[in-house]
Amino acid sequence: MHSQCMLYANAFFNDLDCYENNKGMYKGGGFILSKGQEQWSSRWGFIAASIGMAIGTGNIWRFPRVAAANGGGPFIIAWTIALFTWGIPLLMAEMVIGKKTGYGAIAGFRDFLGKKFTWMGTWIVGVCLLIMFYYSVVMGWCMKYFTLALTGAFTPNSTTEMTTVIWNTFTTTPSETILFHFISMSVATIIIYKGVSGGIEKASKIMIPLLFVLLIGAFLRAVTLPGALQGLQYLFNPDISMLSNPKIWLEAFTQCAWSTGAGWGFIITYAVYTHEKEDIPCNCAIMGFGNNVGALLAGVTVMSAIFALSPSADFAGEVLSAGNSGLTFIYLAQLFTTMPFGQVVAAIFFLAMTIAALSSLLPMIEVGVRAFMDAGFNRAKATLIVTGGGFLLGIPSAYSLNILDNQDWVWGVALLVSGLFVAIAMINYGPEKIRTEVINAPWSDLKVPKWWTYSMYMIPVIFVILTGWWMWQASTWSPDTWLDPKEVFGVGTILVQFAMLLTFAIATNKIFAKKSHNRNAGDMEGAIE
Amino acid sequence: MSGQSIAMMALVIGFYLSGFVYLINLAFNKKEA
Repeated sequence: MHSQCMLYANAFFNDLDCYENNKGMYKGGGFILSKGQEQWSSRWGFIAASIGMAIGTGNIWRFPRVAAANGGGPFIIAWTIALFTWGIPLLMAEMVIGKKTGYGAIAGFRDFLGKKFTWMGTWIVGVCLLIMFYYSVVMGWCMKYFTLALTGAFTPNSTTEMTTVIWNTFTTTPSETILFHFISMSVATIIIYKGVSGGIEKASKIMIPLLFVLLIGAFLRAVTLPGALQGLQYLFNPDISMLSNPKIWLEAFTQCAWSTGAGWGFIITYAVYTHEKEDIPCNCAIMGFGNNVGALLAGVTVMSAIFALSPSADFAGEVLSAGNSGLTFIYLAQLFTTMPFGQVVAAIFFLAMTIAALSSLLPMIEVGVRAFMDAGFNRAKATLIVTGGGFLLGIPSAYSLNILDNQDWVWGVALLVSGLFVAIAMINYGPEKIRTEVINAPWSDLKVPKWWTYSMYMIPVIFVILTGWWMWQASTWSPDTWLDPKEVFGVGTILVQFAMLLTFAIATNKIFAKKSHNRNAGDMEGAIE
Repeated sequence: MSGQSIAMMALVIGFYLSGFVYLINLAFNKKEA
């Protein structure tokens, strides 16, 4: 394992002479910009890409289900508090690292926290890429279902048995799942290859308004269905006494952590391409609010549709307990067939899912591409390495649902660790100093009060509680096998895979740090050398 | 749908939509970074 890690790392830094030549820079107010470095052409472009990053399939297929299962209204209150104590503060922290260092997550952590802690950046990039491998497969599912809706594969008044057959046939035909995984990765490759302003920004400026138009269209259709109010009653259940249930808080914080994109390394990467005087607090608040508005739109749509179209309340309950993919690809696909113009609504819905998935897949790839570019690779090479590798390493998840579920489980929890690392970087540097000097810069549209500083100190506490709870839950799901590494949703599989990534990150720490031009250490008073 | 649920829905959607619109307005009508 160790020698393999070293070989990989050596290959990674093979072209470092090129790195030294390419990385010109200037310093101003702690901000560094590489010579000839790509940039967002406008603030709207950066915000559109960032909202796209945040709004993914989780907003559409996870939020409605989890909100409904956890009391509706009380969950939404806890989820809102989580946005202000975990989501937005961490997005701001990530933007600070990206802007302050001018590097992606690996070199950014090295420069911000110190050479000894480069491994934390490697962990963040590693987790993001490991999620990217299977997320492309998920986007392929959405794309496949969009084509099924367009071609009239869902016959009117289908039963769940019929849609189950369609789902099972598709997911057990590897040639199809791999083909759609390939198409997803190819679309993303073309966009990433075209660069930040010519690719990601241009695509986001089209995708994000279109996504909101599609979501609003589906929202209007769903809420006007007879019986839709029952779903809204469920989603906005006002029983706030349920806030005394800790499970609601844990689920709300988890949803926020997984959905806003905080801790993924996305905003560290996207911030590298921002202008020197780009605002931090207002932009990050827009990302957080945009994410939650998208989730609420999807929540109202999905809940209205489920309750209006289900033959009984029991059936609606069955739909909500079907899990993410079951709810979307079996039950919703079936329910759409029972309404007028159901094919059109299904096509709109699965197109929205595809766009949401693509807009989140792009930053996942860009996190990896930025890491390679920081090491001296040009964009074309970096893109081909990351997406080519992503396609190959995503094949197991395309082949087996169990592997995909396992990867989703393991690296979903790992995101909480990534968020912790970002908070540690802030605590080491001095959160109050960052707040007053970097976040509340003279050109900032919003001034952030001290809650941001307190949030940074609270995040490690929240991390311990959330991680402990998820581990405990996993041990109760399978009490006899929870430590077995082969158990899909066990603790053992988390421990083994975390250990493997951590070993890689620590083994490569010196190599990833030592040959790189440590150009920013002098600026970083808090950096540990 | 109960009155309390309607109030909760109005509060939640009103908070998020007005917040989102306010922030967008702040970002684009004040200055271009």
